[in-house]
Amino acid sequence: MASLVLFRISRAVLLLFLLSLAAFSLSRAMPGDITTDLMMEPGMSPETLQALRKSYYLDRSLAEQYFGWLNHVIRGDLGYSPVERRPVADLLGTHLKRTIGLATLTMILTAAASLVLSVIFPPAGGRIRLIDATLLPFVLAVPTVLTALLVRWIKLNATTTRHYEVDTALSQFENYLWPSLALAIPLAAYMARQLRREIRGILLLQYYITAESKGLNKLGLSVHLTRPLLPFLLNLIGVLFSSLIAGAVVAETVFDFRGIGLLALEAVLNRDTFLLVATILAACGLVIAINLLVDLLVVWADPRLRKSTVS
Amino acid sequence: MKPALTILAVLYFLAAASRFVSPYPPHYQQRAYAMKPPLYRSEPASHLRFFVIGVDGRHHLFGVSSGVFYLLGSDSFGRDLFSRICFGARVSLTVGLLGTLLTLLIGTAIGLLAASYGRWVDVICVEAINFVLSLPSLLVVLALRALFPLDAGTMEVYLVMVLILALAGWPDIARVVRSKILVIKSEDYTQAAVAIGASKARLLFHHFLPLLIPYWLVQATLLIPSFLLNEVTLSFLGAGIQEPDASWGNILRQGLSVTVLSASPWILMPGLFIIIAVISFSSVGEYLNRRLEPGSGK
Repeated sequence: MASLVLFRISRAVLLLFLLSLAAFSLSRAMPGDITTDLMMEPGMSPETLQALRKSYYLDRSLAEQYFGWLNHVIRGDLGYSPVERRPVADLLGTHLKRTIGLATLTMILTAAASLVLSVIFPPAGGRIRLIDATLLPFVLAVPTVLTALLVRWIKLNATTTRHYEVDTALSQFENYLWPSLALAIPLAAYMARQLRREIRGILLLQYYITAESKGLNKLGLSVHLTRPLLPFLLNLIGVLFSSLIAGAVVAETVFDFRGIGLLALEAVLNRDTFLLVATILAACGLVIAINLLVDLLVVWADPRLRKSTVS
Repeated sequence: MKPALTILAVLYFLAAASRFVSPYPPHYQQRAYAMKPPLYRSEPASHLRFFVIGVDGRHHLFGVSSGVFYLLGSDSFGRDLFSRICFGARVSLTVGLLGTLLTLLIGTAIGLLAASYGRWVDVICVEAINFVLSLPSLLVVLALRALFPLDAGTMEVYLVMVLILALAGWPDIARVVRSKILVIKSEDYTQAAVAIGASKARLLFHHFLPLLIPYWLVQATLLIPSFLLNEVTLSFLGAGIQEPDASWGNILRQGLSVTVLSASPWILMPGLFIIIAVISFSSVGEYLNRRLEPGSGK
């Protein structure tokens, strides 16, 4: 088991290294460098620009640039955003916190809805037609853009527009609730479909048929279904949670929710190199960390994995 | 299967013949008639007929000779939504098609490379595949978008989007092609072909590629709708096709404005077309999957 954990951790480190290489190449491949935008600033002397270039190692070889940049990044200096006029690390901190909050709330809604759709109504009988063949494929075909706009439209009609700022805990929660609702609808459909596919296999297993035929109540049967699903469920939650880190960008745009996806989008549209590279590093780093955590949790949830060695 | 193919044929016809099918040119604005609901007809009585000569002096399938007629309503600039959806279909329905072709090409090439050379080439390819797959795909698409100029013409942006979709989408294909080729390589008939001295080209074209055709077809029906959605997302976010040119994504972008969304919710109409296209593609895909790859399971 220790070797498995070690293997997973070393893989995550390798991915982080590749990620840093990719992010660095991106910053080099994007047209212009840090000084391009600043050149327009009044009061920027050529000497300052030169010093700035030097401080980011832009006058050295590519390898030196990479390690110099990595040195900065590891010490938490992610550069300066000329568009937002703030250090990138500042921006990233607040946005990342909001996105994680949004993703967590979305994941809770998603997991609740999909568990109801799959465990409480397991795939059997007429439900296969109703849920598997009609409801889920339809919801999955609706583009996220449309879901988000429709939820926005419902919000416009359901709530009264306030012309003043309210900052109560409730309105704060509402800011998170609507976008996460828009995100949770397609995700819940996707998760329910995956779970139902998996459950269909479990329904045929001997132990479940035995439990059913000895007259176990519905709650007991749900537990019988859920336990063997746990590793699969954890993996699924991990995949969906990571997809939410950047995938929330559509909902964030529609609801003007200042999260990491919107930050990345604005960095692309404003050609804000440092900001883009930093958001990519942070978001992908977070995703790699989540995947590692899920991998370790799965080892905990599936005792069979603990006995086996690295495959 | 048949109804799905018919629907797709109609959608592609709308795209191909958009100049004829749509009653107005896509950029034609009538500001006085902005945000009008579907089936809007201006008074005094306008003559709605088939085969009329439109405002641009061309023949159109249907329309009015005087006054205005909006089949699906108009947007905030007073442009006919149906016409814009038809012209938008040209972008939205073909980006996926070209992107899929390029994705299959790149994915298959890298999968083949990894499977047939083995050793360190294989290791590099597999690591690259795993790396790209471990990243959130939307972020990869956004990052790649940053590499290309933003204020390019519609044609350039269109090609850039095709390229981006392929660059973000190849790893899935490469992974499966690699494992399929590895299986085919160990089959007896391949070993026999090698034993009687078949050349590499013969192995490739007679034993490897033909067996991938069903897989390509099934993947294409999955990739096209997912790329369509990606195009819609990019254009919706303002990183794709730009106004005044239309795509299903940037028509929806107008819905970002609270005023437009609450006063004219029919601006979301392209969404309906997207749903229809996606469902049609996936039902064709399911049919092909059942027929061509039996046992692959669901």
